[in-house]
Amino acid sequence: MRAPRSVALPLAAAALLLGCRSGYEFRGTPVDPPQPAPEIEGTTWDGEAFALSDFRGRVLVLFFGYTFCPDVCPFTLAKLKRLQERLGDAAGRVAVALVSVDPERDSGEKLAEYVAGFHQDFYGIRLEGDALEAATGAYGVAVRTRRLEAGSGGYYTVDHTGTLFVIDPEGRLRLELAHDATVDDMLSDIRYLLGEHEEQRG
Amino acid sequence: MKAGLARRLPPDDTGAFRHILAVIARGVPAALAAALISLVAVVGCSPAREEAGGPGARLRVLDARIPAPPPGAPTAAVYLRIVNDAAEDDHLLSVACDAAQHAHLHETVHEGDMARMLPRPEGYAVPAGGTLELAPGGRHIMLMGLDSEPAAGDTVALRLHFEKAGAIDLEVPVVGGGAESGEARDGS
Repeated sequence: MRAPRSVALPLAAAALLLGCRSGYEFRGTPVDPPQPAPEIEGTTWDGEAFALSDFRGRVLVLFFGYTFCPDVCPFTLAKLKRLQERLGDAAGRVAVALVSVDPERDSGEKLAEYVAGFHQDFYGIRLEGDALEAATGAYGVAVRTRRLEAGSGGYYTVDHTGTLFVIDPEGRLRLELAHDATVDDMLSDIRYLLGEHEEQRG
Repeated sequence: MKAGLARRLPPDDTGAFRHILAVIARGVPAALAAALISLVAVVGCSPAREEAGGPGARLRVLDARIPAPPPGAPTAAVYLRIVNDAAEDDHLLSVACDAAQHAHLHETVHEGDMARMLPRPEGYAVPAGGTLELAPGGRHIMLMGLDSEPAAGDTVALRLHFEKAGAIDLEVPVVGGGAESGEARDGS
């Protein structure tokens, strides 16, 4: 084997390591380079002003869904609840926000009741019309409403991107987690982001 | 009769269940686990027994459960496993539930990063010697327009219609606070 090839591999490995500081390899898909998380602003169900940037200083897990969804959304929220439990003392430094892709059926109040049913630090965000389109567009989330089969009483479902977006305490979009990410995967990545934040502050 | 939703099972009823099969109740509080053990598999315990037991058509329903929906959720999902011990294929055709306006067979399908919920009016095959699994994030029974919000400890009456085995009645337990589904999959 010629010398140049024998150094190529170690070099590549070193480059990879440098790329992620301490050599930590995210289990989710890193947003590289990290970029400011697109802002989402609105009002909470009781009329308070709300902005994603209010969550600076904490890791925010953001995803899109709707309360009518009986399968994936509760499953994801249940995993996030488990995540919070396993974070222990660090739980207060992580928040979860669900943006409804179904404002027609999800009143703000209903949404708040729904997410708070999982955990006190879970937030429901209701946006309408252009504001919702802007938010889904900014995060690259596709939304398609589909009527159910005849005899379903006009019920419909909303196909949507199931990705979880992880925003670091500096407000940067850092990671995308797939719908099937495990609690262990999330815990590992989020602990890393919290540790990194501590290091930068300290 | 008003359907079984939110009806708490009287203690005497539990004795009627003849088939108590394996139960996965890790992480579920003891009282719930006990309820699960009594309720998990209820093939052939009801008036539908005769209809269900055609010659050679033997199905077992295991781990039937409804994760308690979050407050305000207008829908609930039913998960279960159906084991076909018979030598011939069967087919789950439809589901009836008096406690809901609609009970449909659905499947969540992930295409790339898109989650889509597709109606499956054609039902699901239960192959001979095989198992049909309805599990979180995939195939499920979707209950829409529930009479009232099912809470942990309640049971919901369901009737499954099979091509060969006919009808099988179930009393499906509602299990704890949404956590069940999240933990079952990654075993944490």
